Amino acid sequence: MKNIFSTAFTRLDFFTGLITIIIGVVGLLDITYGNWRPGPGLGPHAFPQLAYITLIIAGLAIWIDVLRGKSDDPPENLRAILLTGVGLVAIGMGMFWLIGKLGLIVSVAATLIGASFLLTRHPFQHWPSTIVVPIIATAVIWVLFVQLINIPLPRGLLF
Amino acid sequence: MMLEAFVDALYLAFSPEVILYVAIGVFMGVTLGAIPGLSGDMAIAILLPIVFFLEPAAALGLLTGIYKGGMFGGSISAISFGVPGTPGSAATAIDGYQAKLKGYPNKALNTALYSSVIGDTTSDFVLIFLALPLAIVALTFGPVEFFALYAFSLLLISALTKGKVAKGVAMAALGILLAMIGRDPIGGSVRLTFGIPELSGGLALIPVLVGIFAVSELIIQLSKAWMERVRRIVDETKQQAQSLLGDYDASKDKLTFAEFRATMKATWIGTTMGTLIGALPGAGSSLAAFISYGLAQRFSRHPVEFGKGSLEGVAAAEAGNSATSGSTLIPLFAFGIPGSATAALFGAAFILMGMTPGPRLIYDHTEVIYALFLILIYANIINLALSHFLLPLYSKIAMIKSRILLPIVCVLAILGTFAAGNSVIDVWVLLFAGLLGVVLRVYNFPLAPLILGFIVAPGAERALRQSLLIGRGEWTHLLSSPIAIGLYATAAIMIFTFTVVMRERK
Repeated sequence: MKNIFSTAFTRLDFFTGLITIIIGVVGLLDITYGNWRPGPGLGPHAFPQLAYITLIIAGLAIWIDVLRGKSDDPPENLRAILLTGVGLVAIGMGMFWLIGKLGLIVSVAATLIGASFLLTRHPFQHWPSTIVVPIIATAVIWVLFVQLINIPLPRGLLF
Repeated sequence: MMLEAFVDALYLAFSPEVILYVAIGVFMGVTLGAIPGLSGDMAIAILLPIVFFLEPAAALGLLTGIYKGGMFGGSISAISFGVPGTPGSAATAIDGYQAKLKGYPNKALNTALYSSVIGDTTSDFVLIFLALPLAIVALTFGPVEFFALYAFSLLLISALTKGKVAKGVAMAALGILLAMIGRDPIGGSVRLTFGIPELSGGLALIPVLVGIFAVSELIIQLSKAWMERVRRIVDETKQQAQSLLGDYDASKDKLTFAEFRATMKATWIGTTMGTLIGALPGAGSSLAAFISYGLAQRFSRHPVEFGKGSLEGVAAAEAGNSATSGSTLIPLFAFGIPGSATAALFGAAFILMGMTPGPRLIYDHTEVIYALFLILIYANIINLALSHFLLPLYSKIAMIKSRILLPIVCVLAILGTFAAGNSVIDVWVLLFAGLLGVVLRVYNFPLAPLILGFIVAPGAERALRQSLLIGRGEWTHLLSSPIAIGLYATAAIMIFTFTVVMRERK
């Protein structure tokens, strides 16, 4: 029994359970001390309160599973996945900013070619897939969004 | 009146434009489903903003085509490379890939196609015949019954998703909290906006759905491409595929009628289980496929062949997987509650086109819904015809390196989301929902309960608060209706039964 308790802290789901409980507790504290207006019937805070209580119960249930020896394995390549995620957010926002400066065609083509170069080991050797495919894709995207759907993107300096 | 609507629906469904969109959808679905890492669901999510600009019947035709094609497409890479193109085709990979290694990939692919189409069509008929009567019952529901229904689906989806009950419940709660951002539907006060005024309108459905489902998966696949993992898997399988070509005799690899007939029992087991499981919120196509596979093995005359390239194994898994397709839409049409990720995406498409999913949907938009029913049926025929002729090509499609397509799909997701709402905030929400989805995926939190929580929370909150207003604050009022009591009791019995079944399976 002692062994289960001492190893529980090293299990991944101990931490996922902890974070779940923390979100629930912080939310309940916000409802108790935060700036919530009263409303008709149960009031606007009641449903979020129910969700926070559910989160705390779920977090405790995750802990019980950990004590029973059930815990998911730590994710593989976590750093690479999270870095890709942050990278994608940055590239996505960058592309959007670039559209305002350079226009849709140049920005999308630059983003797609840049991404293909990043993902391909010898990008110049594979030029059909790293240069030609992105350019064709840009043309299709331009036809779809600018010609057919006509989305009101900010016009850039170029195209 | 009904006949008139049916004639209108016939014109809508069989207009050349709609047929073309269905065919394009099927082709896109099979193609994307066949590429490991991309799926029909992802394609639907990415194209959601675009359907806003199409006529309802054409948009639904396109989405239906992608859905049907994607279901079968997943099995192509499962059989060709042993890499399931979609989660639902994981069970198909067990026997499908073995069949391919033994030198009869074509028989396995054709078995998968026929069983998929049989399962899918049967499930569609069940949807058509059940949705209307259930919607009639649902029209008599008041807030007490609706709250019970929302609670029923949330309980079920949390408990059934991959057997991780605690994490499922946590996700449903998180989905509810995300939906609470913005204005309170009854009092109108602003909640949980963290001081960001742009959030006072709440989070839009499209960026949350596309972000959580598609962008998060794209990020994971991009990181894999970055580490060249996908390439290695494909390279290995490419080598194995080439090694097979030496003594592969294509003339012997044709599915005979006797072989097809021998798989029929497994196909019907898969069809029945898939249709039943598909109608339950949260159970999902991969669970249906595995349960069908297990049952077909138990009732087979050759159970030892399972896992060694049995065509019955392929048929059961594929029929089970595909038979969820029609029935998963039953709760959406009857009650407005999406029971699966795909149903949520269809629900979002209806909302985008100005149609509210729920019992009134069939009455308010009779022609469009009847047209959708017709499309659901004939899309199977298009899927069968197109896939039958293009199968040799499709097996090669699965070799396309996803790293080429991933950046393009990402750009489409970003621009499409912007196009749907003309809002930069939506793009921010999309990217951050993507990051949230990644974190949840890598820590093994199921995503379906989160999406269901997000979608049903506003309705559930309104129903609960209205119930308590009517009941003058008495919580016992929630148990004042026999239908509500029946729903709570059914949820309890189903969760208990499934927990026992899942334990036995382990």
